[in-house]
Amino acid sequence: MAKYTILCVDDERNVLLTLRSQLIRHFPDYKIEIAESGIEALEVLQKELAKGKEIPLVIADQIMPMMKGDELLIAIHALYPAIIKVMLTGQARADEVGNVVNCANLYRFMSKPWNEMDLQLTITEAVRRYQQDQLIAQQQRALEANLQQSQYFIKKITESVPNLLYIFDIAQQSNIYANYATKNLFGYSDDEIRQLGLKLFTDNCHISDRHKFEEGLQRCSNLKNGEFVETEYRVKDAQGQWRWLLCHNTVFLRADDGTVKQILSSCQDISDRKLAEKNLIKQLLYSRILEDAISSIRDSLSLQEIIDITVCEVRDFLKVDRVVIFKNELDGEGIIIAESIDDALTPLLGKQLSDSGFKACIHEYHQGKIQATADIYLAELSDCYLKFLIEFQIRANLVVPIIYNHQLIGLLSAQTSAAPRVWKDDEIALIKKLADAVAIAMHQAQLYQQIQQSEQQLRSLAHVSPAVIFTIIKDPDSPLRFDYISSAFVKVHELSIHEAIQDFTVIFQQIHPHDLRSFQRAGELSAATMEPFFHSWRIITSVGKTKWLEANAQPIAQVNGGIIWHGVTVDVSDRKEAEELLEAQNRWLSCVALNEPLKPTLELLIDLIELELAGGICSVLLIDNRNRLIPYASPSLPISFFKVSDGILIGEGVGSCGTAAFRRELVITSDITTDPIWKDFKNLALAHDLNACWSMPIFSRNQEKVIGVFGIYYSEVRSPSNREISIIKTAAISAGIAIERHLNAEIIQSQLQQEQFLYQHLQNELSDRQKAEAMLSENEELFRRAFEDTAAGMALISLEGQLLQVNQSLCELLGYSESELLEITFQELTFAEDLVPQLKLVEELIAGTRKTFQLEKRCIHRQGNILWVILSMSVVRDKDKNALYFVGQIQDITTRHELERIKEEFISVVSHELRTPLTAIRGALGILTTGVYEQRPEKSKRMLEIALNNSDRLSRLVNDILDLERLESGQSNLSMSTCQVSNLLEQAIESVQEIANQADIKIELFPIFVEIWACGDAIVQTLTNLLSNAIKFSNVSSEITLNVKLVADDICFAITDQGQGIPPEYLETIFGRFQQVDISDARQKGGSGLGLAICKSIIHQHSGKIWVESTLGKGSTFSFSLPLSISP
Amino acid sequence: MDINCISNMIKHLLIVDDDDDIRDVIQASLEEFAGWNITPAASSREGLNIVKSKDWDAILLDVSMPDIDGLTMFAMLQADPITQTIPVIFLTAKVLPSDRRRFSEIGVMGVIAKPFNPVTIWKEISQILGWHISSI
Repeated sequence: MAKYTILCVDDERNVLLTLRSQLIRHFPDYKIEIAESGIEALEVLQKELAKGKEIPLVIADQIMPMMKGDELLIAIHALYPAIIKVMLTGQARADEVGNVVNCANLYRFMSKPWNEMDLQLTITEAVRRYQQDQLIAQQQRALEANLQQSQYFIKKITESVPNLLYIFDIAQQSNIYANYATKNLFGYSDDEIRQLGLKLFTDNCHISDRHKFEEGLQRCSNLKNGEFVETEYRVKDAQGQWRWLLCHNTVFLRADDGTVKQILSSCQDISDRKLAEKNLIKQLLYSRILEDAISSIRDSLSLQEIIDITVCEVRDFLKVDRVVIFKNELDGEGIIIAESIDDALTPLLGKQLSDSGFKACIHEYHQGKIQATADIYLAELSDCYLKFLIEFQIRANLVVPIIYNHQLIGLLSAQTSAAPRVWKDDEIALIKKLADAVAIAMHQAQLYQQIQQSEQQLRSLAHVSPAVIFTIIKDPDSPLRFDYISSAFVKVHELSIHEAIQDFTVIFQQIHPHDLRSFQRAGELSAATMEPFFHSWRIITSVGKTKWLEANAQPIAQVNGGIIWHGVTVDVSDRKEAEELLEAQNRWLSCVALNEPLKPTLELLIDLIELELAGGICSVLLIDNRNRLIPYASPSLPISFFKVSDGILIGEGVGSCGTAAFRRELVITSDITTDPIWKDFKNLALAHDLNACWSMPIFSRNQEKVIGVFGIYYSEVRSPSNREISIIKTAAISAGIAIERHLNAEIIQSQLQQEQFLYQHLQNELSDRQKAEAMLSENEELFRRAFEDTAAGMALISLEGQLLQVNQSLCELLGYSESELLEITFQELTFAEDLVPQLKLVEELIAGTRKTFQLEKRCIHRQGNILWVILSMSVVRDKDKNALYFVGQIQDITTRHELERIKEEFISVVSHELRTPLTAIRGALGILTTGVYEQRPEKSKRMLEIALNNSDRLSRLVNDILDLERLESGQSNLSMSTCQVSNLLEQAIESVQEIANQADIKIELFPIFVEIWACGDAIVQTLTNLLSNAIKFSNVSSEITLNVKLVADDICFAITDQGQGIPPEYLETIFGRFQQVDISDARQKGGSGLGLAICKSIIHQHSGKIWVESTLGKGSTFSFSLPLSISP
Repeated sequence: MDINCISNMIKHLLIVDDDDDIRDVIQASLEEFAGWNITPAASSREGLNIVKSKDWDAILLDVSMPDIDGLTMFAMLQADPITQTIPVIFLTAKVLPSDRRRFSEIGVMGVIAKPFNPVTIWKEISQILGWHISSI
């Protein structure tokens, strides 16, 4: 198919055909179209082009009718400018040709007749020209398309970037371009943005950033190419929110002189980054505050300091008017313990809060609820709470509970007074963390306080304890040292504490040489075995006094390989002395008993007394028949002094001894210097350092004769105590016994009596001493003994009622383990109804208006049952009289209560049973006495019957009660004799036969013939009771059997009826008093309700057994057995 | 005093006591000395059977009785709206302080101790129930 079409136009057909043939010849590939007029030419052209043909060339004649060649070409040019136009004409006017050249871009003018060769070249050239034009046009189109596309891209990009882009034209003061992001941010249309110009920003810019914005624009004028100005400022967006923008301003267009014409601004929305930055800074700030607060909490153990710091920090951080910490004591009651406050407000520190409005909301804080009220008038608060807040000038408040271990310890509250305030989440979170830290601190401080207090208690206990409480440390490769010694050390060891702490060896230096080795061995043994150190030893104090000490210490191994002993040392000298004394007394008694020679016997007595009366020096002077003194025994008195009295006659003024013997009475010389009876011997005594002397005459057995004098000397001036006087007197009696026994062998009997007396006396005294000694040694274990071993339940109880320490008895009493008890309060253990009286007494204890109290109350056992107890309670106070804790003692009186209840019930029943017949008698006789029935004998008779029946009943009852009481109290001596069993059975049956007959009841007897040792009447009474019961409860015309048989060593009686039987629940109690199955049975059947109780008592008195077996509806068998072996 | 007035004054009392003798004595005493109309019942069960048959002015109730005791019967009377308004007086030989405490706790109108004076017991009852003795 031809690629190109060439159109030839001429009104002369010949010319056209020639032209076509020539063209076909030269351009066989082309299609040659012809047209004979201009109009036809245009039609062909249009048709060909419509077919998609390419027409590179039109050759047109000039002279044609209708439309001339120039007109045609101009028209073609207008329509299809790319087509090459050639004019072929015989004659043409120059103006017409010029017109075509000018207006139709004529390619070639050819004149007729044409040279075929020229035509060929012209056409070839023209087509090439067309092809070139087409190529250029094509390239241009491609270029235009590219340009369009890139413009599209740029636009797309600028519109779609999140950054704001706008171009500001300085001359027009208009934003000539703004991208979508810009329009979107501000919510304006293109036109609005254009018109607003810079006002778009200045109007919406944050007031404090406006200068930054303007400065950013101004600096643009100095920018070089490629440079930009960076500014950050806030603008308000379409929603009214502030947005942070980071803007790069650059020069977009300059004038030829270099001045800036347009500015391109690219702004990035950095609000999120700013927010993150802000949060970060805030967070840093928060963590710093938290860290500061917590570290101050950690550093300080003073609670007040901690909470003071906390409230200051919080107020500083939140910038509020007041921050307080409220300590919750009771629910909703408590005290403001810390406050940081604006000067203009009224301080609340120390204020006690117990407002009901406040109480109403306290329970929410228990659950950890935080209350953040931005404005109390807008929050929906209860009226009373609102009132409460207004009273404290609170407009907005944030209240965070301080909770430790699920317990509300207090509240941390921040408040503003005038303006509302919004509490931000992060602020709340921070305050919450602070509150948690404060909770820990408050708890720690409380613990610390408790520790201090308990340490203080221990120290005070240790301080007042007569025992030395100590802690000894043995570090590896170091000598022993004291870590702690209580103040009793000074008294016991007679050393200063400082000295002993400095150098442990002072302890060793004190030890009696004989005891040193064993002491060391005991210590080494305890260290090696880790068994308690328990040892007694002697020390010699700096003044030469010997003391017996006893220590008990528990070793505890240390991580470093060392050992710590905690223990007590007690001065047991008194006990040791008592032991020695006992030994000496025994020796002395055996001397006397064995009739040893007099002198050693008396010397032994003197030793004994000297041991008793520390510091005393004793002597025994005998008196001969001529009343002369004979110095006889005194192991300790200087011989030069003692012998002086030899041969001196007794009498007034012959020292204490001579005078005592003379006066026949005890003579006490407290001060030898001043006593006139010592006038003659004073100097001698004083020379021997003797300043006091007490003398007791020694009498003969019949008190007639003074046979000697017992004297005691002291180196200091002193008077005897009652005890000492009694000792001297005893000594004199003892000496008298020894002397008389020795002098007169016939009065052994009397001596023995005296010895017994003496021995008893000494024993008594010793036992008193031992008791005292025991009490003393108990001191060291005061708590352990009093607490642990006492049968009563004991507890130390905090003022709040928390059990602090409990003993085993209390645990057993209440059924809890020790650890369980320590978890609960005393109130929880108390029966609810008994709580109020107890609390009242406790308050009086704390207040000190009562020293101790005793209360009968009910406690609740772990199993839930109720125990009746006597609670004795007292309070322990510190040296400032502040109550520290209670000591409570609980005694279980449940059994006693139960007994009382049973007793009361019994009395109630007896009283009731006695009053009932009495009521009938009193009533009947009362009515009769008035005479209302004088005219009505039948009524009178009924009343008399009532009185008579009930009198009988009353007397039966009284008899039965008395019988029973006699039997049970053992007052009734059953007169025992040998009885033939068959006789007893006969008697019993005889006595009930009549009532049996009345009811037509047959009694079948299976007797045996055996003799028993018993009170016949009582056994008959028992049988009669059981038989009459059987008859009473049997149906009419039934049978009763009385069976007797031997079972092993017993004789067994069994009475079986066919009556209604006894319900199983009564079988246990039926032998009790007034325990009839049916109370009215007793009256109807004429019983007192005591018959079976009497039977039981009788049988028990015979060492027998009684029991019942019964089936409801079938009958009962009452049996008793008596041992056959009992005989006279 | 006209006849209507007298008939208004005649009280109807129900006596519940399991002791035949005592019941007879009370009945005789109250009929003779107060002129009241007395209906005896030998047990709580019998008493409960007839308690709704009449508009009782009061019930005298023994405490210690077999089967249903006086306390139980009282509780049953209290539980029934028809009978709970009838004043009840316990007539009992249980006179220990602990018994008395128990009675006073349950809201009984009064307690008369056995033995009682048959000539004056009606006055005692009247006093407990606030009946004017002079007008009777």
